[in-house]
Amino acid sequence: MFLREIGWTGFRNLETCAIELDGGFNVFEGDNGQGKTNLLEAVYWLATLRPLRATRLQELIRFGERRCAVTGRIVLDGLEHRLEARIEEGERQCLRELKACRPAEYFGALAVVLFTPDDVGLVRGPPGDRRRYLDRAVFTGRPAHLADVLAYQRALAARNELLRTSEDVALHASFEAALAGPARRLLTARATYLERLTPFFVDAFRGITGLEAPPGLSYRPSLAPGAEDALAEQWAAERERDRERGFTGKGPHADDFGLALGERSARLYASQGQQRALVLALKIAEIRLLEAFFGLTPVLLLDDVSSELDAERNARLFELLHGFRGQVLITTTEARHVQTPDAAREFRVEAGRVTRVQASPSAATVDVS
Amino acid sequence: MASATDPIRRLVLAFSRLPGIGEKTATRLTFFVLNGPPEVARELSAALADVRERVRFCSVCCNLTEADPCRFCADPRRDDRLVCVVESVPSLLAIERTGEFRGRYHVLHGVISPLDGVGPEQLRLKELVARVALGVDEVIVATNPSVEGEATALYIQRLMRPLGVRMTRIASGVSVGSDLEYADQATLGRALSARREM
Repeated sequence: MFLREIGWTGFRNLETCAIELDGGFNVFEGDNGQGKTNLLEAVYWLATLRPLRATRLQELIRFGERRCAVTGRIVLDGLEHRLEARIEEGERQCLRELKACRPAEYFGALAVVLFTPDDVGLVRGPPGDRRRYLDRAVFTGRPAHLADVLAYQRALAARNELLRTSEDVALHASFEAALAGPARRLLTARATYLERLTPFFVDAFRGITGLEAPPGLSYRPSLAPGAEDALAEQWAAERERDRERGFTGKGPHADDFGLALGERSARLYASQGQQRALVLALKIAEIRLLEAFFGLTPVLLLDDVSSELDAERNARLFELLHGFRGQVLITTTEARHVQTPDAAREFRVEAGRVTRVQASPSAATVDVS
Repeated sequence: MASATDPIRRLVLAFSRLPGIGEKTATRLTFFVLNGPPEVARELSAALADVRERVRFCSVCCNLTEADPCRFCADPRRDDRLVCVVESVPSLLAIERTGEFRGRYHVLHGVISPLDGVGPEQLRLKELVARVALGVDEVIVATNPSVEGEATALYIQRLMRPLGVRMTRIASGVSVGSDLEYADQATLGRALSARREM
């Protein structure tokens, strides 16, 4: 799978344009604040229909514009697919093969794995960030996960409402049982995912860091694992305490997963550099897992990673990346920071304008695409 | 500004309160009624008044009907020992169209939904318990496979427990006659995990 062409109009600070990408490495060079991350966000938006940083869709639209659109031509198994994700009158719209469709029909042609400097917070940040990361990663390989997450959230909101408004024991038990169905499916999907991910994760971490303590990944459920009945029983046992709290205290929405270095918790003991390496190893493992289990090679988006790693880890990262068969889009403030293969396609990003840099070894000339 | 009793604005407002109708459509409907032949308006208003006047709940199954009991409850060829519980009249009609079911119905008129402020007391559950207590062999719960539909089914199961009646729940999965490739991932995933021995 690779993006052959991507175009945008009215998106963030980017000037309307379409660029042709290489199926391997693509480097976007530019100073800070010129639009490099916006460009990666455009790819991310096209793939996931979610903004990367914005909390409201409106923020994706270029100042002074009323709509925005990102279009892409994706090559998958030798066939070209066309995707378009736009915001029209504040509403998200998606088109596949030039026809409007539901999000469920949209996904599947383009999968991305993204690494930004912000991701380093995953190790030490709040559990909610790790849960969201995990559910998103599970969703890439298992689209039905989204329906389970939504059903669980709805059932959870219903139970929380009941905690405040009802003393009917039979009613509580019914909603606890209804909550257990999606909860069980969520828990199984998350646990299976982490179990499959672990060997790839260990490999990738060793690849980046050399011989450091083996890293670990463990799911930390707030409810004892069990069948649906067992989950419902635990909620019943918590009912009085939950009523005092005013919300459901335990369940997949309160779970976490921990990263470890050897026997020690990474959250407590990992250095900045180790945290970066852990998160990067997670992302690389995510890709390897998609390849191994689903035959899917996602597009890797790397936002200014070199600035985050020391020289040695940086060199190892690029060694790893050279072994990656898929497409890579990488941003950097200076092209010499990234050790890409000679065939890499280079672009320059300046004040929202993206232009191709000709790969001539002598005088680099600029080609306006 | 026109007064609140301006008849045009009043009708636009009335139409726009209907589900699926926004202000634009409401305006279009209003001017259709206004510009069309007078019979259209007369027939519409008579039908609207009539439907509230003459339709009521069936005293047995709570279906909406003009005659009481409704045609499903009055039909002597149907099996009294089998009751299918549905959320709404459209659900009842959908099951009826299959031609597969020859028992009786019970219409709840909703599902328990704490988020919408709907509790068990707002549904026709007391009527169901009273009916089943009189002697029924099996209760089929055919509420939708939504969170609220499932919870309502489980609640009914609890209500029925003291009565010792056989309880069944309709299956959910891939729809017959459609290709697997068109089923959405959630449905297909559920159908796979609920597969049966053969």
